[in-house]
Amino acid sequence: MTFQGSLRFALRMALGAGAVVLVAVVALIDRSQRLDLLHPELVTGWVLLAAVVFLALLNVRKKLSMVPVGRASDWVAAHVVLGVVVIVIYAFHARAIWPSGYELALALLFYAVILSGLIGYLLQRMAPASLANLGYEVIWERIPAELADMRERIEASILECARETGSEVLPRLYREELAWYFRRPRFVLASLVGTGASSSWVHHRLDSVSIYLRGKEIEHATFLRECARRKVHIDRAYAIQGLLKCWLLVHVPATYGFLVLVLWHLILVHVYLV
Amino acid sequence: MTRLDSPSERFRFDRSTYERPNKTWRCGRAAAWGKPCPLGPKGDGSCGGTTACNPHFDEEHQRWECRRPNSVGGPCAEGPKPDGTCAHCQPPCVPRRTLRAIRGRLALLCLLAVLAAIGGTLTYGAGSGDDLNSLSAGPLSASHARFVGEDCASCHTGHQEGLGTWVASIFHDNDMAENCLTCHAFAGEQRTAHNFELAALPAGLPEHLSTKTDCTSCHVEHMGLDGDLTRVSDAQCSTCHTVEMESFADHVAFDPNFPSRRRTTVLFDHASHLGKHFPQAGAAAPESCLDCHIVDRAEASVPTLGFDATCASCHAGDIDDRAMTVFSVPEFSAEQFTALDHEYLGELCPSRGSPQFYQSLIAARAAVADGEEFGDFESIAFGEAIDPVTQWLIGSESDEIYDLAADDPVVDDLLWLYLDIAESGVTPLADLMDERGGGVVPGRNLIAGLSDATLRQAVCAWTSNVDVAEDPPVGGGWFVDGLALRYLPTGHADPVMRAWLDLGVAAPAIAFEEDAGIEQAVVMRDTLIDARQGPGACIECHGVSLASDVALAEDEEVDESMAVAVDWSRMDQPWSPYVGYSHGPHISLLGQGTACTFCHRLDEAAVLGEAFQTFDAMHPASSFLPIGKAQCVDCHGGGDDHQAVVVAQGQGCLLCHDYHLDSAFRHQMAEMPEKTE
Repeated sequence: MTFQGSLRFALRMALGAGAVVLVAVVALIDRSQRLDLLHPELVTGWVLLAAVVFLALLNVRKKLSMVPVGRASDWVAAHVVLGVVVIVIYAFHARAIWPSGYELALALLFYAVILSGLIGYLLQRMAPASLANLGYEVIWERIPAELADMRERIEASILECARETGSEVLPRLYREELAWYFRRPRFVLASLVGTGASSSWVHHRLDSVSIYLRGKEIEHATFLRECARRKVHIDRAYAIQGLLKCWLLVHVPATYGFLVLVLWHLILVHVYLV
Repeated sequence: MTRLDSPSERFRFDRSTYERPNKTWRCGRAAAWGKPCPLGPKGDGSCGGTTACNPHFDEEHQRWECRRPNSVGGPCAEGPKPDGTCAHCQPPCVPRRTLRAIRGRLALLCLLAVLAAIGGTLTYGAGSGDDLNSLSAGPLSASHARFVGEDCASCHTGHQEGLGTWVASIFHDNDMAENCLTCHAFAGEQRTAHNFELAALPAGLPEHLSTKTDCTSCHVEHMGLDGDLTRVSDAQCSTCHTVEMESFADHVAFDPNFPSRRRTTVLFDHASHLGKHFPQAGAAAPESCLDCHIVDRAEASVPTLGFDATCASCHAGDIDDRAMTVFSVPEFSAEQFTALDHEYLGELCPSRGSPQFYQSLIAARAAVADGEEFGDFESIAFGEAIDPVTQWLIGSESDEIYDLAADDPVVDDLLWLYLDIAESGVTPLADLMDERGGGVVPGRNLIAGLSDATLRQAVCAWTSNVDVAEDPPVGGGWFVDGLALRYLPTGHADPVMRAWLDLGVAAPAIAFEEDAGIEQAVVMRDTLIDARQGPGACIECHGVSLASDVALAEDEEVDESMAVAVDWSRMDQPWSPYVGYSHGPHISLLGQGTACTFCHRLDEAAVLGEAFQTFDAMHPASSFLPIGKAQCVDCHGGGDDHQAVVVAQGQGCLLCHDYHLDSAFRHQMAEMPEKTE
């Protein structure tokens, strides 16, 4: 292991140990204050708020990539570890799974943030391996261009086939069925689960006409099969990468709503209780 | 033959575009799964790809140059038009937001939705009971909801004024306990642990005992109509009481005298009665505890049936013949007698004789005083002392009336009292009793049942040297016996006797407070509570105790300054105001009359009388042996026995202990709103 690698490993270990210590300290304070008939909710609440604010700072860190405040991967690691710690501190603080009144909305938003975060973390751990196993690399934003380029080449091949053979088998197949398939990513859910529906669908169509193909038509059909194979990869890449991006559509908005409600909660606590 | 690009071709610098997903807009053609233009949308969201490139004017060669990117074929053969516009035009697209921009808008939308929800629900419903109101902490408990209704400001001071106060209260401490105490009150100090009086606590106790307590530490509101504000967990008690207990079996041992913190209020020796007196009584003797105790009304104590049903069959006669002297003054000396306004007295007592008679009476008294014999006046009761009650009443330092000069204020007051009584009846005497008794017992109560005629007749007789000798009325009441006004009790709990005993035991403390007549007050008290005579019969059973009911220090003795009261109530004080016990459920479980002795074991050797020789009642004395923890553990210890486990389940400190001292409500909470038409 290189020095840099050792340093990062030590940092991760320190992060984990710090999280355990933080949880232990909060648990001790909570128990101590509860036994002293004080209000540990105040302490756990402020710790929770500080942790949530730190978690939210990851977004700021992303925007300020030019500022040397640690590696992004370290920030993400801290974000994940502290995210788990926050669940424990929240349990100490709220002591209720389904509180009543506006606190129910606060709890629901917290659960949405935490659940989406956990899902996102799991996706980030699992999805890269799935993408690597595809054997085909494509940037999510460039998929429309890839498909457009593929369609251009397929249509050029189909026209060439029609000119050379005068047969309508492949042009008709493409016009009536395959054009829909190559238009955009299809079978997204099936691709995500990995059922092979996309591959089955397109190869079934190609197989159904294969007995009518002769000479040059077979070469063009082979090209179509090659495009279909790549399209299957694109469909799966689109589904997996889309999922990697879409969980943030829940996580980030829920975080904003949660922070606003936390501020309101803070005000109410200090007006009515403390 | 057409073919697909290999990966190395696809990402070649002149074939691959640079994706910027952090931008706000993306090409509309790409969004529609078409081929995106290389220029992409403009920053304002409009299409930037209506031409294939943005031609560049070459200053050196003074001509326009095509700048079409290599990824889409490089510079075109046609080149830019003369006016510098691109020759390859295409219709504009409608750019779409990138996923990141959509995420930002969703975040903003969520933020605004939460703000709108907070604002929108602020005015929803009437207050704390509405879950949808964002100010609501949940509905109040039934008890508070009934009084407070929806008025949040009753408890939350920050809520009562305008927005400014509301915002300012964020930065101010909100002492909720003070708001609780506007309605709730407790005996003792309001905000100390267990309402302890700090001044009364011994020195050296833990510091936290003097710390202000906070009601919300234990009582949690806004838990709904069914919320139980008084529910407190054992863990909360453990904050201070750190004895480790798995079950009641681990409870600290009871005090060796439990449950006798002090002597009983009534001197009743169970052992001697059960062992000696009841067998002697024969048929009238009780057969079990139920013959005297009413178990149906058993709570902390088990009440008895009362004197008439339990004691009277043997002891009624001890009371009936105990007459007490309330007012008795020997005859006046001649000088004193001369000082009377006989003319006025003659008007008030017309039957008593002529003025000439009084002149001769005065002369006769003077002669008798000189030792001469003078007719009918030999029998005058010279030399008798003033009765202790009367002495206290008239404020005479001497019990010899003849020691006082005729112009002594005491004599003057006494003579005027006679005249006033002769004129008005009992009222002057009642007024005098009120004045001397300091209002402890109303004078009217002390002479309840005494008629004007009886007293007036007695006074007229005493001033006429007529000897009055009435028989005591049958069934008890007032009567005149010679020179004394006396009272015979009507039976047990006679109100006049009780009033005199209350006054008698309180008199020394009253005199001490007024710093006058202490000796007379003590003599009167001792006379009244003397078991050998008069109302002392009551004190044979009822104890006389210090009113404070607090144990004296070792070097402290009872003195006249200490208030004393008769223990009329048969209910003994609880062991501690913080310890509760209910006989009811135990009797129901164990069975009436069969299991009293399970806890109450007779102490054959107990001697109760000694404990009643002093006013300091804080000396345990009982006919029964102390009760130990072991007697409770069988059921409450949570042992192996099924019943013990069942009983032990769900019980905690509060099963036997109370936290507060006599909780009550303050009067102002009952103020009613003004009536409106």
